[in-house]
Amino acid sequence: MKKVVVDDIEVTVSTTVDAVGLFCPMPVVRLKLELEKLKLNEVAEFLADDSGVLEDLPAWCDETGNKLLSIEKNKDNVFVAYVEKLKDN
Amino acid sequence: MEKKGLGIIFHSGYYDRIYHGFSITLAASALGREVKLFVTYWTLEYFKKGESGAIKLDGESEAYKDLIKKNIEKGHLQKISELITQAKSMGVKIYACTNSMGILNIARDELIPEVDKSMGLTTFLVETKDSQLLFI
Repeated sequence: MKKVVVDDIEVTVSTTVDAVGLFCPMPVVRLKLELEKLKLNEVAEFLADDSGVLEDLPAWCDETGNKLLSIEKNKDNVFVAYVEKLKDN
Repeated sequence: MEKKGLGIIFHSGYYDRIYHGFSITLAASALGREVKLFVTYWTLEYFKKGESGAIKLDGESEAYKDLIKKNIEKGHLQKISELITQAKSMGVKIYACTNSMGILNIARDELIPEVDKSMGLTTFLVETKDSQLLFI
């Protein structure tokens, strides 16, 4: 499985949600559906280019009890985030 | 704490309005809120078998209509049929309005199976009495 470094800590990525090209609210919806398949403490990588995710993703994680490890824009103007599943639905 | 439910009464038959109603539906559902849809009047046309792929737009310019259609082709926007499937997979309940079915002469078996039940407004309001309600 893919490993990435987030805040100097190595994290194993269990799945990638590619929401590039999708508009609000579909990126968050896709992430929600994908997280349902993961076990607790597994991490999903999340890609999106709708700038709404910069605020929607922290808000969604906060509301649903999951943890946003990081979110950054890469050189291709895609937002790359890592989300740890902390709650079953 | 139990999250507040959301009820949406759909009335319009235009793609852009229904699309937005489904955006709200899916966002709320992704937040873990229970969502119930009451499908009435012109929205019902999209819930007839074989009709949910239609794209009718609300009095907008041709350029705007083209823009929407192009975005659907590219996959940026979804057809109503896809939004219905998505909503159902997330546990959203869909109810058809019996009054509208009567006026539009639509029988229950003409509606797609994604419609959970047909009911009157009283039942829907009882079902959503503790929910936030929207009208589209």
